Amino acid sequence: MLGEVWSRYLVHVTDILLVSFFIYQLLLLIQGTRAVQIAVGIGVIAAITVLAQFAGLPSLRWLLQKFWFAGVIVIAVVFQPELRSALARLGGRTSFHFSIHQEMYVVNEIVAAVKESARRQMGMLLAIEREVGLREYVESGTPINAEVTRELLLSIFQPPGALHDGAVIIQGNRLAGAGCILPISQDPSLSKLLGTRHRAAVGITELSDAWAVCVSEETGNVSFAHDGKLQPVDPDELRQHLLNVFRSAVAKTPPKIVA
Amino acid sequence: MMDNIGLKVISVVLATLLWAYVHFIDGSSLYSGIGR
Repeated sequence: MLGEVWSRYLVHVTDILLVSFFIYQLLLLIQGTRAVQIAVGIGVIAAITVLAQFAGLPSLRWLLQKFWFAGVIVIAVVFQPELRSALARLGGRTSFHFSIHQEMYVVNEIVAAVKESARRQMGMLLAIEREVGLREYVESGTPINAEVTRELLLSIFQPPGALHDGAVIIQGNRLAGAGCILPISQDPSLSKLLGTRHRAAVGITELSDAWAVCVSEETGNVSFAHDGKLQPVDPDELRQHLLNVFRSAVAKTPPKIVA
Repeated sequence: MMDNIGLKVISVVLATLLWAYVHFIDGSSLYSGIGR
C-alpha cells in the first residue's frame, strides 16, 4: 500500500522538490549577475525546443537538437565565472584564526590608510578575503605576506610606485599581496562614469564573497563593494562594515581572550 | 525575503514544468537512458 503510494505520487513530489532545490540554488547563485540574462536566453531556447517538438517542425527540431548536443559545453563556457564561484564556495572554505585584538588593529589600520588616501586623493583598492580563497589573485600580483599597517598600505598606493595601480589583498590579519589584478565587472547596470578600479572592486565581489574598498583618485570618495554591489561610504561606516566582516569570521572560531 | 520567496516559487514552477516535459512530451527518453 505504502509502496504503491510512493511509486504513484510521493516519488514524483520528491522528484519535483529535489529539482526545485537545485534550481533554487542555481538562481541564488546567478541572482544579480549578468548570468541572469544568459539564463533567460537559454530558457527561451528551451521553450522553442519544446514547441518545435510539440508542433513537429522537423528542421527547427533538428537545429535545436544539434544546439543542445553541444549545450553542456556551451553552458559551461558561458557560465564559467559562476561555476568557478560556486565550486569555490563549496570547496574553498577557510577560516580566520585571529583574535578580537588583532581584528580591531587590522580594521583601524585599514580605516586610517583609507582616510589618509581619501584626503590625499590617492587611488586605493583593497580586497578583503572572507571564506572564498583569493590566492589566484594574490599570485597575479606581488606576494608580500606582511602585517597590515597604514604606512605599508600608503606606501604601496603612493604613485608612481610599481604596485600602486593594482589591488592589495588582505587575508585575515596579513597583507597577502599587492599589485594584484582583479577581474573587471561586466555588469551593464554600473555607471559608465566608473573607472576600472571601481569595476575591479565590484568584479571581485561578484566572483567571490570578498569585500572590497576603493578610494577614487579623482574625487577621493570612498566606496565599499560586496555581493557585486558598490556603495559610497564614509570612514566611520567603513569601520562598521569591516568590523562586521571580521566579527562574522571570528564568531566561527571563538577567540581565546580572557576578559 | 520577498525575493527569496519569489525565487522559490519560480524554482518549483520550473521543476514542475521540467517534470511535465519529461513525463508527457519526452516520455520515450525516460525509459531509454539519457538522450536519444
